[in-house]
Amino acid sequence: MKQIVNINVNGLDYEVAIRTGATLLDLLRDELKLTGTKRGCDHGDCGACTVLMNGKAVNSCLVLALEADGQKIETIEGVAKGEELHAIQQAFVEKGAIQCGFCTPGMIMRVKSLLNDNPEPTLDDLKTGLSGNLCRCTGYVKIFEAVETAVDYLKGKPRKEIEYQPQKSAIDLSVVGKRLPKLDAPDKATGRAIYTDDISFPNMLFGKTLLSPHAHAKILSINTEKAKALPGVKHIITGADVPDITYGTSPARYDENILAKDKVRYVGDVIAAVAAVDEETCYKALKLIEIEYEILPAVFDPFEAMAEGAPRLFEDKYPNNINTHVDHHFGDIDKGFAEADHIREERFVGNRTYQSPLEPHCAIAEWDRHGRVTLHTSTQVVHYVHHQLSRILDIPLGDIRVIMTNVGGGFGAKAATNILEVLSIFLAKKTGQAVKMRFSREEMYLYGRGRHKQFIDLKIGVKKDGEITAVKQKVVLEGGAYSSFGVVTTYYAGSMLATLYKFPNYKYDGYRVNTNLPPSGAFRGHGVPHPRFAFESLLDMIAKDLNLDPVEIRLKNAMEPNYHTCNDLDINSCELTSCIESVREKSGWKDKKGKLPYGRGIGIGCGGFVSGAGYPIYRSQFPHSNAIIKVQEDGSKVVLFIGDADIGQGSDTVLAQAAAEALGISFDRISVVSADSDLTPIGFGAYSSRVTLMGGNASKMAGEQVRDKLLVKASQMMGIEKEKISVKNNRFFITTNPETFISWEQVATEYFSESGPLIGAGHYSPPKGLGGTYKGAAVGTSPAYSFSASVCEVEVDFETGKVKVLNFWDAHDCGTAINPLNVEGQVDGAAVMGMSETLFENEVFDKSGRMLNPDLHNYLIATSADTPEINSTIVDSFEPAGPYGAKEVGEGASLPILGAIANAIEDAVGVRIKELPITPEKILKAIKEKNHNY
Amino acid sequence: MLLPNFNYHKPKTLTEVYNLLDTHNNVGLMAGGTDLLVEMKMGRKLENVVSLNMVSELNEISEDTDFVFIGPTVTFRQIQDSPIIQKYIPHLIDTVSKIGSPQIRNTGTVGGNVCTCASCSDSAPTLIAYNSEVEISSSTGIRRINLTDLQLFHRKTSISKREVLSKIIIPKPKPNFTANFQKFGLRESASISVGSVAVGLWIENSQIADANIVVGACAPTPIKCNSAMQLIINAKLSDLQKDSILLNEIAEATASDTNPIDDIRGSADYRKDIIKTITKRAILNSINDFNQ
Ligand code: FES
Ligand code: FES
Repeated sequence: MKQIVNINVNGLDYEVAIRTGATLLDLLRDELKLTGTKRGCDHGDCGACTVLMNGKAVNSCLVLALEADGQKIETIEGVAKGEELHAIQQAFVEKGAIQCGFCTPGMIMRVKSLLNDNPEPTLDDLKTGLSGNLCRCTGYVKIFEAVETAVDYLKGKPRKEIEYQPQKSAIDLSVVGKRLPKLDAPDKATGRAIYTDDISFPNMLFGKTLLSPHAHAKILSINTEKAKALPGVKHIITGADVPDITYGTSPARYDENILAKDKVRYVGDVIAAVAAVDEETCYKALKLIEIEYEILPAVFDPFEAMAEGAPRLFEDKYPNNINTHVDHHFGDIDKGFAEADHIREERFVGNRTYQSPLEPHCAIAEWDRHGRVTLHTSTQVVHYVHHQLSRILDIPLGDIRVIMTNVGGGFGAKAATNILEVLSIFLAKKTGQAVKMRFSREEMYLYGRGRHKQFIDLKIGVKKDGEITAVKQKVVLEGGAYSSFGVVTTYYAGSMLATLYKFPNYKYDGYRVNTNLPPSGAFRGHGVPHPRFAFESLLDMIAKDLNLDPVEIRLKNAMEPNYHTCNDLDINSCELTSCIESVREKSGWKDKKGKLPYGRGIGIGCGGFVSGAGYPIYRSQFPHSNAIIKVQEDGSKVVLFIGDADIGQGSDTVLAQAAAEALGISFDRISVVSADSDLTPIGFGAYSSRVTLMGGNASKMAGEQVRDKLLVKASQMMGIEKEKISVKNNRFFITTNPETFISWEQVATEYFSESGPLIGAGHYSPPKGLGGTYKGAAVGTSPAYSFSASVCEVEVDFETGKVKVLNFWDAHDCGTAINPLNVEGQVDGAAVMGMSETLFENEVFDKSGRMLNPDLHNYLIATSADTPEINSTIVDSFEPAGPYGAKEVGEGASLPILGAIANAIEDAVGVRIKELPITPEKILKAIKEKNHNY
Repeated sequence: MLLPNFNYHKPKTLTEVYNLLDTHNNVGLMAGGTDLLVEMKMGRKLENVVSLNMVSELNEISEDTDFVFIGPTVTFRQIQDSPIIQKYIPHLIDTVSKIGSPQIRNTGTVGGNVCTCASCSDSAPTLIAYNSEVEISSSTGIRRINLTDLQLFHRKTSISKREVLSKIIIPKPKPNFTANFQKFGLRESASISVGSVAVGLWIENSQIADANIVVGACAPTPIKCNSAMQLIINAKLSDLQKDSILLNEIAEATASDTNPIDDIRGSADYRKDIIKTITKRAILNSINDFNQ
């Protein structure tokens, strides 16, 4: 059923025969191989597929290819003139408006059409005008800045250098501490950056999975005969065809089968996989697979799941469906509460949220004739995928090559080995052909691994002056069907409370409970946002009880440098106090708190996170980050090979900066190859905010090794002791007389000519023996901790309950910001994502465990129109364990947000909402109840 | 999911459309496709898709002395840009600018919005507040009905399978007419209505001579709130003030005329609360506009 379409794309005429069901997006990507236009949702909700049709921005996923017959289409590939970027692209690159870059092509096309209609848009025009283009990374702030800059450029105005005050710790540095555009930004701005789904191999097959329609059922029989007979189907596998091995994330809880063996445990559990010539055939084949189920009673509520007699998800383990139990007691909780003048206990409830990266997961596997397999995948952690595949396939690491392509955002959703990675390899092996597998947006939600919903009973005791004497927390985590990261989540939910405020006595009880829902996993701030929301909320409630200023009670208890917490965590640098003071000042706190008119309010929250986990997920002695630097024989360029993964957060750029600083070269002389298991040494990847500190230290060390080799050479060449020579800005010079120098490349060339390849290697392992000796003491350990404070101002429509966040003023102690532009981008993104989770996001299921909102139409995330003004500050700080004093910011920055918003709402309308998300309905109900009680 | 294949037809005239409708079964008429394609991606099966986009007579905005006519394939964006609409039906511009995203408005159409007939459709309440009618045609003739008679239930219209919506007909409002549309969604943009209200008022001698109060997303179709309308007709403007007793009564009546359900966007009770608030806002805003 093919028809001919004549179409003009970027000025070229094409004549294409295409199936009637193809969309314009399919035509561009699959037929014309113009992969710059992205598929984010396929349902018209995300805008990633935006192209211009006769000058108007349209979602190409909702235009039939046949409807584009005779039309003029413009895509991202047509925007730049050769190597010369369009003003919009240039501005996006310079302003840091591009992180993962997956939204970027669509965003730029939309901006282009918007500026055509309205060459001088106001900020409000931009907020509404870009609201059809979702971005999960940037929080939109830098995108607005970029458009404003583009408007200037289009009017012929020159580039404005922005002034900024470097941190004290960066004053003497020449590459670190600079606001540099990301290395990959130009490729992402032009649609040239390749994501996994953009790759196709000759003779490549597609794979799709059959998902359970039942929340809990025994599989009595599977018949694939009819499906196998369908023309185009190459292979079908079920549980019987895969090894009898379980896998997962933490070795203590490997509990997932590759394909369901005997039963399914949630709607979405994977039962079978099919490989066929195209996705259309896969879908048809899936419908032909016949399965007989015996439906089992299911349980969706963690409290019901724990009750005696509840249906069990696993017969052989997890009694009462309790998948993980943590019982921690530090100090003396009874004594602590006895010392308190005031004690308050409240129940808080979190929400089930999903990372919603703009790029759906995708993997492509291909075996060669020597028994080696190559996997291209959209992952945050090449190494764990690598390790896990070696276990599952029972072949050595060396026979598997895992390549991370560009990743369109992860936030935890891509932090573990996923089913596409495993199944594409099995299907590729069986068929002898490359196999591509990708999730639809709906499949992403069903596969799950989002945030655990937590039920938190929190009790805090304080002295009259607000000093915390004791904290008791009981948390029940809704785990879903499998473990995923859940063990770690359960520990984090407890351990991280103790890193922000000083308190001597702490009791934590955590229960992670299995339910017949998609598994919960690790999501930005891993396990901590809900407890932090509870803590920051309760602290405000206590401050109110005692008539204390919420800022004062925080300052009273704020963590200080070089502190050993009650749960044996060691804090090095800590500038929480200056963060709090900074936001108090900037927000005009004193004139606003309690003084704004009804409906307006202000609130504060604090947060912080680890800069990388102190221990790996599975025990190994390998350094956590490793780097190799290879210098070109003429010294003109340097390549950094690093195993850690840039998933959009910008780590390639940051690590290159750390390495360049150590090498003494300018930033334009370094490039990065990352996250390819054949080319780069092992690195634990992008999770637990580890890359800046750990990858940064490894990169710095590799750079120093090269520098030291060259210093010896330079000393010979210059005839002066190496101790008297410095290296910076591509020169070796006499420290006391900088005008006497030789060039970096001269020294490097000389070295190479004499001694062969000039390389450096660096590695980083966290200090040995971090943390206490109790069970679970490893979780929460880190070489360094970040700190943040945020003040939020809101407007609440007290007749509808609707909240509009107007401002965030936040301050961050991330040590030395290696790239302040990047830090701001992380911080903006964290704030808007945190706001979105606090106000909008929630996964909802029906009585049979089927998700009711598995799409971006009904699972709402913040759009540009919801974005408040964000004013962030990076405070002066230096972390001794970090490269050039740096530590993390990406996760910690999201943690203050939830509590700050809840506190601001309370200030605005006098109601305290303790259950996330804070919807207008909950607020209005609380207002009504409150008015009723008066 | 992937869009399945179908027979695709691209008629150029209405007569060709009638022919196709007369000779084919299981036909989906497609204007912008923003609803239809999503439905099909989610599993709706259609053997035939008839694109209306080459039928130029369906893509016109025109007027005569008494009416404005909008063709069913006119996009939201065309409405936003139309001088005729700007002149006579300005509130429709305000209304459609609250629908979907800019990209959706560039392809989505009023005809599609009305015919998809989702209870949460945003264009219908405003059109009904203007007393709009629709023209439905087929090879056997043309009929003209009130828009309220088109929309039978959530996703069900009174258009038979041999017919096509050929015009939306909006009476040109008299100078004494004023209107307002209020939408309540859960985020600032691109959100589905939790509730919406369109109010149309005819004002004579500082009194409401006639009125429409139409609520969306709170019943299987957008509905006219008859008891509320009875209360407001003949009311003195001076009695319709913020927090006035009458205004509150009208808001209460509006809410009790609706029949909302609980869903992921809000409970029935909450919807009623919202309707009360936005009804008041819509009435006050329209009176305000009128006074200016
Ligand atoms: S892919 Fe088209 S709007 Fe998301
Ligand atoms: S940069 Fe926008 S989604 Fe990642």
